[in-house]
Amino acid sequence: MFPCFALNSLRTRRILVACVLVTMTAAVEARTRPHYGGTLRIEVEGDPLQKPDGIALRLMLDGLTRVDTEGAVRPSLAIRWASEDNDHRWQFWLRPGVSFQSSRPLNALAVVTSLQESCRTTACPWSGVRALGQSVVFLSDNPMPNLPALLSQEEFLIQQKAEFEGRSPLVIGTGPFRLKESNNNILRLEANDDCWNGRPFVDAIEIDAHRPTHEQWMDISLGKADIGEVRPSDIRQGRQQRLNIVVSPEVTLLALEVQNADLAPQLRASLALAVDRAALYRVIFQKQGEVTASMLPASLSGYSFLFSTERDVSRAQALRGGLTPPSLTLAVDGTGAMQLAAERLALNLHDAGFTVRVIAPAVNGGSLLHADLVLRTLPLTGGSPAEALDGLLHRMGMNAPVISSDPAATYKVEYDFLDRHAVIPLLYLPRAWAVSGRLRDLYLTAEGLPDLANVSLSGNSEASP
Amino acid sequence: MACYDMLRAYAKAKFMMKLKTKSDRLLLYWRLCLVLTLLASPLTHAASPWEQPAAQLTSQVAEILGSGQAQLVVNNRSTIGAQEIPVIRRLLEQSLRARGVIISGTESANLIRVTLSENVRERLWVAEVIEGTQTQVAMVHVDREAPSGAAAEAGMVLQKKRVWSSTDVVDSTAISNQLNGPLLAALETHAGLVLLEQEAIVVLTRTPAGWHEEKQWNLDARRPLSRDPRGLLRSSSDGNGFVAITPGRKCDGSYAPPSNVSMPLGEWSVRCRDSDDPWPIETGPIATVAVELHAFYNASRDFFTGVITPNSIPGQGVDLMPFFTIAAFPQLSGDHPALLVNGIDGKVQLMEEKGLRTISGTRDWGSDFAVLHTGCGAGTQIITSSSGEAESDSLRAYELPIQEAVAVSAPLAMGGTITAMWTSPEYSSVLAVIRKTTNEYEVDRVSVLCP
Repeated sequence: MFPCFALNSLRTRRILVACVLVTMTAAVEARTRPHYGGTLRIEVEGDPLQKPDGIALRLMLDGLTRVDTEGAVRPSLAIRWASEDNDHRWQFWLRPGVSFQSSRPLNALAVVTSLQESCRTTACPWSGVRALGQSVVFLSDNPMPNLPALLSQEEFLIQQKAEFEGRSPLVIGTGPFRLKESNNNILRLEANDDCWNGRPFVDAIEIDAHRPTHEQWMDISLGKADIGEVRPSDIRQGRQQRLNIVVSPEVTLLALEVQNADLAPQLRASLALAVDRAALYRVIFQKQGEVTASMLPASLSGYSFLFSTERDVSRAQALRGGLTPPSLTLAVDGTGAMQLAAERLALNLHDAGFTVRVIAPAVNGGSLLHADLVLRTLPLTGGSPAEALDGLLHRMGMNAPVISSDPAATYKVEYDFLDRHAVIPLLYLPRAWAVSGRLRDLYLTAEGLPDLANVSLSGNSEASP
Repeated sequence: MACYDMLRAYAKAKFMMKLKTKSDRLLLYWRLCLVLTLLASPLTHAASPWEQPAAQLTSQVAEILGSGQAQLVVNNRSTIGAQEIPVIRRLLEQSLRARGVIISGTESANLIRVTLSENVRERLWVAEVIEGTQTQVAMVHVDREAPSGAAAEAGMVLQKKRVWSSTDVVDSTAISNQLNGPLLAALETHAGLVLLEQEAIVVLTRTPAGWHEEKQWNLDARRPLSRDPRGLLRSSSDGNGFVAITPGRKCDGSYAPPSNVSMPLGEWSVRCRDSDDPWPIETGPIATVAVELHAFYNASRDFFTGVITPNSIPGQGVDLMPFFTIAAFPQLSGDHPALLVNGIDGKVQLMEEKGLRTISGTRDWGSDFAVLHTGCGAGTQIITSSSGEAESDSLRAYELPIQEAVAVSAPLAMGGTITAMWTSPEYSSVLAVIRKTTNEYEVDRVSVLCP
């Protein structure tokens, strides 16, 4: 029923890797033009406003650029851009006639303020950003060849300077939905009639946050919700329960980050050889996704097979040599299958002579900062291998290296980075969603999130605005 | 080159000596060369896509390895067919040999492991050059060949012909880079092709190199824009220009032919204004009756309100339900054409003199259709959009013998989403806009071939 991954031709593969279209009723009726109206109900386990992949942010905010379903960088709030001085200087010209949801016009100064605010919490690759007429200029001592792709990331979405309504900051952007209210874990968004990119088809979206997965599934089965989350490890179970599940391509990298800078290089290399990716894939993640030892998935780079995914405990022990490794702590950025994966990794590393203690996730993320090892997921963004690698390295806090579009050069950068064993890639995982039968024309974005601005609900035949 | 080698070998053959004159030998050379060239050409052609990447990769390998012996292993992790692998291996071997690398067996300490890989965008050939414990990597990317396609054909046959594609190259620049949002409609005129985009009108002229953008006008489109935009392009009454309609805007385009023969092209001019006038959705003779039908459009909801302004057709003074598509259709009885309406509730209804009746057998219909008068079968066919696979729409011809739509052709896959379709002015073919990918559009002409 679902057009998932019968990749039997190049064209099909290209389309499917780029996007997944869900036409829920395709088998029973033909596709019709979308209808307006209705309220879409979403349930999520986490915080919909949390970066980097909270589902609500993309609905309310736009970036200067966006990545389309095929991974290509496209204009969004910026209509064009140009680089000078060997990518040390970039200029982005803003789309005219765009207003924030507060009706305040979008101008270069507002964009600069928003980006400067982003740099408070995120490492920004530029050293300076300033307004120049209706354009924004970025300057850097290092070249920024992939800046257009980087600016599509959630960290750099443009919002009006935070205003506070009660205790919560009010998010005001230029996106297709505006925040109406937020209370008791329920976020209510309403359609932005004046959105520069067109009014969305649905009138409103309700997001029920912090809802356990099994309750989300129950609500979808009972018709109380339209979209719920499905962890990669639960995809098979969801299908067994006859849920309609849409699965993205592999868009999330599961990796073990070695944060302990004092760990000797050979011990780091030993860790990389001791992890059992195949077991994680088979047992914990129920054969979803792709085993990887490279930062980029095979579908994007084509060369990931050059990084061996084989476990070699003997060599790991040999590399460790006479060194007695210190007792290590392993923190997990997540729950459920992530926690199980961490326990499994601790056992793997024990086989190679490491003593690893998995520590419980702290609510404020404090355990992540101080742990020797962190098991985390990293979203894959950007269309080309160079852009995607640049984005991943940026998320790892690395100064973006100069990466050309030449695959050999990209491979070299990736090889050099992984050779330090500061990050050990484990699996590439898809994102999956359970969806109700009344959704029409649901696409997943390049990040694996539902593109809800273009979704309509069947059964809505609104005759008047 | 191969021919030359063969001729040299041939020259050494004993029977050459038996030829009496130099002219005889020359004649034989030419004949032999011609035959060999003809015989060899299909093979050469078949291997040609791989020659360049093989040469590029082996050049990099030779730089790493220098001249010497090495074992060659070729792995295929791509969608290249198994029958192609020996051809590629032979090319790699030849090219390596030409660069001083001799292919040996397993006894060699050096190993060249070539992996034919690919990603979603391109093929990637990777060579791992292993000398003892040291491994160096070389890569080349290889363009994918264009996918081939074939339309399904059975019974009455729908035939598709591409009129324009946004990937057509114009002055080395793809038009897709210049599209101002979705493509809404296209119109062929004797002076060129007019494209109606969401925010612009573009006039193209055909050149030997491809489509060339002649002129572009900003529509100053009404804000906010729509996510399911629609528009109309019609020939102007004098046949030289066009009328373009988008939500809230109406533009008249006129064309003045060149005043003298030294000027290759005439002059286009476009005048736009705000307009909430009803859209001219049907203009032409249907069953000998001149029909001119206008309908009011709801710009904020992307459908027609149901309020129409007819002159001499049934339904006069009667409001219809809100609809996506409407077309005049000849009635079996009566002088006036009926109206075939596709409502926003998915119901297809026929408005006749007798009243409104629902048409059955339209479950597979999408929101768009167009009526053709082909002379085949019942004489009139309805070409409807439908969704075969989720990511690709199709068109299919139907007839309405009584109250039921009957399919009279196999579906024709369009290779993308049909975002607009309309009947050509002479009612002999349908033009459809296909969205292939996010920013790639195509305009196709679809006609019916009689069985």
